[in-house]
Amino acid sequence: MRTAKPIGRLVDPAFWLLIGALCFALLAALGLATMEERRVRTLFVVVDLTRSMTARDYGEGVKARSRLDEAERVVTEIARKLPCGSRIGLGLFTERRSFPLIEPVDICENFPPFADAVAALNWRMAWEGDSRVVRGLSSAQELVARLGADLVFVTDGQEAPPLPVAGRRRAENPDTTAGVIIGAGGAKLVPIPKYDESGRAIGFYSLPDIAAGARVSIATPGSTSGEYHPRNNPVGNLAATSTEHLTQVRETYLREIAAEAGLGYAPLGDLAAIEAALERHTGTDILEAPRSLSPIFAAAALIFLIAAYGANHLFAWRRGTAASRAKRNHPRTGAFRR
Amino acid sequence: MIALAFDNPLWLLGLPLAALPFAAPVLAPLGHPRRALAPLDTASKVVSILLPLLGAVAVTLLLLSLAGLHRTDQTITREGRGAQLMLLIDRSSSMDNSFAGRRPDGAEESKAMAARRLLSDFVDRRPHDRLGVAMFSTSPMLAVPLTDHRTIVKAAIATMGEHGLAQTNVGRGLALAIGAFDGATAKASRAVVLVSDGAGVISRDVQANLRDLVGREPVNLYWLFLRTEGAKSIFEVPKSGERDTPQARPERHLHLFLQSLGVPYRAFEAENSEAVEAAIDEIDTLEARPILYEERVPRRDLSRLLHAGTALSILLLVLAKLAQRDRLSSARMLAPIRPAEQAR
Repeated sequence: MRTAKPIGRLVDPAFWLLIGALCFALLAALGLATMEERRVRTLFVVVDLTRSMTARDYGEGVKARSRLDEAERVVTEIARKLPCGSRIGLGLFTERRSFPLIEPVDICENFPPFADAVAALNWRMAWEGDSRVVRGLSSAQELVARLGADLVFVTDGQEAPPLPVAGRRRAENPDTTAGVIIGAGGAKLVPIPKYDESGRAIGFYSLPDIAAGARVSIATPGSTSGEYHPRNNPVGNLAATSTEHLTQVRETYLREIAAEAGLGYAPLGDLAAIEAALERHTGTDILEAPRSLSPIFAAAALIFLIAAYGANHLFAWRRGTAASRAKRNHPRTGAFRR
Repeated sequence: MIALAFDNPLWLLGLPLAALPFAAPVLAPLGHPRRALAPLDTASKVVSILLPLLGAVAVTLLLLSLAGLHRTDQTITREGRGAQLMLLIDRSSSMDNSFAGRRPDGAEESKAMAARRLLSDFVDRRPHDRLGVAMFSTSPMLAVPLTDHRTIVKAAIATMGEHGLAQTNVGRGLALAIGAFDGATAKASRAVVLVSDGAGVISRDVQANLRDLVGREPVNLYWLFLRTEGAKSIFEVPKSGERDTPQARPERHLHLFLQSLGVPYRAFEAENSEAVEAAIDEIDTLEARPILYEERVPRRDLSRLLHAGTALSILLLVLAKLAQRDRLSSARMLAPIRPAEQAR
């Protein structure tokens, strides 16, 4: 049947596809958003700044970087990967205490200065040469409990003075904290650099240095070898074969105290393992964050718009009643385009 | 300059789709018995270019918004009044005591807590400063290098709530704080604000080091001395017969040493938090010189704009589509002739 009114528009798929594209574009322009749950963390990073952390066992030869350099890199990486809304703080450990430098701050807002502060960490900040890891760890756990954060404790596990013969104290396990220990250092034994009063490198620590450092007072007269004494010489006579003056990552030891303290463990070089350990051993807070729906609407609008052009092109032969009779007569309808 | 960037630039690979409207028209092509009857006039030319262009614009804008086009956050340098300030904070354990030299109880706060509260207020009051925080006890510690971010500076000051460490090694702390100024922005006023409740003997080599540093990078020095009740004043000259050595009177000798450095220096003595507040107010007025500070212009998402543009172009296309007429149907107005022809 022939009609005089404009035909085909209401049955024209291109028209309806265009209308659809318009609707989705308008929806996208409205800027609708849905609330999304984002899992954020509050971390407090404590970096061991004792002498053994200056041992260079990341990389080879002149390009070797110290454990501290590597720790700075990894801590910056961890901070970079935290989702917005997460907070991170910074502290240092030496002697037997963990000391805060920065309380947890919003990482997205403060990433550049935080990265600067991490890069400024330096062994010279250490106020004493001792490295009593277990005590430092429990001090760090107390600290993070007060700050309401989860602990990231970066250390190589090198005890200085060496662990007493009588055995070490157990790591405390307060039930309020969660976190991970990150073990710095390589598997190979490397020497520990020694510095003079003004910070110049003057060689490496030797076994007598370590033994002397462990003694509280001078050895009793006549005992040149330094016999065991529970208070004055807790490490006893360090054997000539002892490797206490060399350092490597004490992974089994760190895993042991991590288990005692209820923390996780990951090696420093392995960012994926660190992330997995953080995932398992640190708590998350759920933060409601708006997530824009516009991209979905925009994608839909794009699909409809392209379909409109495609439909017009592909189904043009369907249009027009004038064509329909010809179509009936014509066997090759697809080729008949008007 | 407007800096633009994309979040998901992979979407830009779809940009060739913008050529689609030129290949496939949005209006239905219709046959016409004689092209010469529809001459290609200017209006037709404009429409034939405008319609595909509208489609191309819509597709492009959609792809740009999907690729996450945004104006990046940027910093604009402006001039304000302020200074570059290093706060050098004493973290020795004596700061945990009150001004009366006792363990703080409910009624009186410790020197560290008073300093923490007042310094935090001070940071809030000075919007244009670049601030840094250094701490010292036995060793100097750089907590926050100079920055424009206030919250992290306050987070570093907030750590004063934790217990302090052992000794007061003020010399190395000063060397760290003075050395922490980067040479880049030499025009601005630089100042070190030392907050301590005591002093130590500065060894000869550290003294020489400090003179050297101050000679190279002149800074203004402020010493906020939190005097414990009963402690000797830094301004008090010992009576004859009293020992006047750095060991006996380290605070007075630090004061004399800082005076001798040849840079602007002021010492404030405070025995209570009100006096600390007054001293901080004075530093506030003294350290207000023109400074170039960086203002951060946050990232701006342009997707709303892009979507509005898209919606507008598609709306125009829809209107064009509505205006589409089937020319053949109007050609049917000639129908009366045709039966005659058929009848013939």
